[in-house]
Amino acid sequence: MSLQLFYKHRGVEKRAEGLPVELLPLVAERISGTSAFAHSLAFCQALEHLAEVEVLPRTLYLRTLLAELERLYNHLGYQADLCQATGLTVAQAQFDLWKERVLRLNAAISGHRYLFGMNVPGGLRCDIAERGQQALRELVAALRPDLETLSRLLLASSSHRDRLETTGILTPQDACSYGAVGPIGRASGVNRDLRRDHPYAAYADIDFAIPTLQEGDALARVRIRLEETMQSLALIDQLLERLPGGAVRVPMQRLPPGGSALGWAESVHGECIHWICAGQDGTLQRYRVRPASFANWQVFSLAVPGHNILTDFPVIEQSFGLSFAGADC
Amino acid sequence: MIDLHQICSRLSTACGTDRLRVVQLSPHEIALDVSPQTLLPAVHTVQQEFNAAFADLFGLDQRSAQGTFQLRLLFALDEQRTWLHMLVDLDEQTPTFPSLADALPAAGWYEREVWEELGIAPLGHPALRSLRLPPDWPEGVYPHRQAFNWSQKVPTVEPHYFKLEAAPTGVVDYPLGPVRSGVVEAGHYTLRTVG
Amino acid sequence: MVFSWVHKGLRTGVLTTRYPAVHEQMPEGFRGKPVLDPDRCLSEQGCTACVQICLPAALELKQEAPYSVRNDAAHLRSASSDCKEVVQSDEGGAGAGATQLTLDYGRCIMCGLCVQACPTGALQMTADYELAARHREDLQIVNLLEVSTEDGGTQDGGARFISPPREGEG
Repeated sequence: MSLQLFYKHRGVEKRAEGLPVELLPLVAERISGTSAFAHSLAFCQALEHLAEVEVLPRTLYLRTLLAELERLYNHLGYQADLCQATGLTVAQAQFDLWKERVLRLNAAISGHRYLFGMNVPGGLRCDIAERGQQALRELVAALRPDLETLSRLLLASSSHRDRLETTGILTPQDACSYGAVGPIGRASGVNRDLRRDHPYAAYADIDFAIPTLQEGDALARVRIRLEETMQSLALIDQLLERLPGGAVRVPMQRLPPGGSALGWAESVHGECIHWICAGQDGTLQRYRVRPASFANWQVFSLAVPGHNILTDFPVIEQSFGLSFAGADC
Repeated sequence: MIDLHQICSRLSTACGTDRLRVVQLSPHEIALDVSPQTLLPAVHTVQQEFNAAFADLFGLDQRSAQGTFQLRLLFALDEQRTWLHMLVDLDEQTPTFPSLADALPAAGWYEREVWEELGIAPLGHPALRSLRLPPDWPEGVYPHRQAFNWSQKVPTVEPHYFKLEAAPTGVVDYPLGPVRSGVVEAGHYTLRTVG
Repeated sequence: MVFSWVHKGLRTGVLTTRYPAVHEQMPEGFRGKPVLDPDRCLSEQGCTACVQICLPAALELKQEAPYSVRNDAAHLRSASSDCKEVVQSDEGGAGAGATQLTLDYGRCIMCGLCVQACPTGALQMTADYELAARHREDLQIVNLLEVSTEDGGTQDGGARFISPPREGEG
């Protein structure tokens, strides 16, 4: 298979040069709409590292919460997409319903269905009201048992499962040497996750597991996603229970001329890394972003050839669940 | 906490030079300066001996400030919860470096990107061609150089498309995208299959 | 197993909404179309807060002679011809020049930063998300300051959005 991407290359890195700091998160969010929060989080963290600004405890917890919400709706959506590829329409509708409920919750607590506009350098633009937290508790409480049922049904549906087993295998060796990240890597034995290995926001304070498998086929990726979704629900419960009070924003300081810093976040696709270098006037002189999908598209080319047939292609593509815009940036 | 001395001495031995500097940039970032000649052994060492995971490779145009281009690699040292920056200063007239793509396959796309965006050539890259810029982008226009303004108009040239070598008999090329059914983003695949 | 999916589907029932026949209300705080209250706007007194912060340059301010206000947000100016540079005038104070505040909904990304920057609350986000138009020009409001306010609502003064087909209408 020959792959041609980068139809959506927009020169995001160049555009960020010279912009006032308060406009920069707008640019980062729009790298990839489905990992908008993770990108703006990584970016704001880079700015805060550089300016030596310490954010407040409530900010750390709420950022973690919103990041997990983003992970949640994406994983649910990818399950639905894969069910569409295999023709399991009731399952597709069930997962899409849950995704829509999470998107509506996002709109209610942040004003945007995809959590745009929440991260600002120094914290969050606004707090999440108590009724938003209550709505979130109710959603998690309703989703958990339903997800267990759906997972059980999904993995037992032979029409679905047969198309996933041994399809699109990414070997652990290839995953490692080509730098696969995120759930794609973890389904092929690459046991890495920024939330555990380089904790940011509030991840160091809470308990969660990072599922890893070795088979590397589409079924392994589905199982990793299901397990990560359950872990996200557990994370959200812990975060809501231990949410500190207080404000959510501190003033941003000027960027030291010539300084550089790194910011990172584990988006649903994998690790997103942002590096910034400040110019003399307090704006960015160079901005580098390595979205997770950029790394993972390379391994997609390796998973397609082999013993797969043409009709396996949509299954493999959906099981990877990669972002085009994210890679193109 | 990371032991800078240990990293420094192991890398110095592997690269065959007596002075390699490793500095702590911030609580979670360290930086190492290497030359283009010591780049390959340094990369090999950090991967083998420190279990570093390759994360990124990109370039900077710092000619106005330092008179050089700079190549930057980023590795994740998970056990030490640290990020390692590897910095290579390159000559501004002929910025080149030995390609890592054979030893480190993950670096393939990143080197192509550095080449097209900055004009820094990875010597020995197995498949060097443009990555992100469109097929009608003119030669010699490097967007990540300082002189390039994000809003400047770039003239187009005759498009140069990448062509696969012809398929053998009995094998069919099946093109898919960039416009296809469903609510999906644009990407083009050429699926080569039997029959 | 097929039986179980059927069972699950039947238990869930029909959840499809009746949009566009029935309007779907977005939650409070949803960032939709921004609107301006001209009576509270200070652009004629020289305020350019919203124009300065607008990243896609959707908001533009122009004043006819003898007074002009410079949009010194150089980072927002692009090489394309539709972003006008406004010329600095040396005279100060209020005057009789006609002020035009243009808003292009085609460029607007509904980030809400203009609303935050506005010192008087003249700019507000509504929850209106039905912003489809038939022509590119239909998305441009030539002068927000000429839009009249009646009964607390604002008319679009130049922007023509497609009305969704609601049940019980036409």
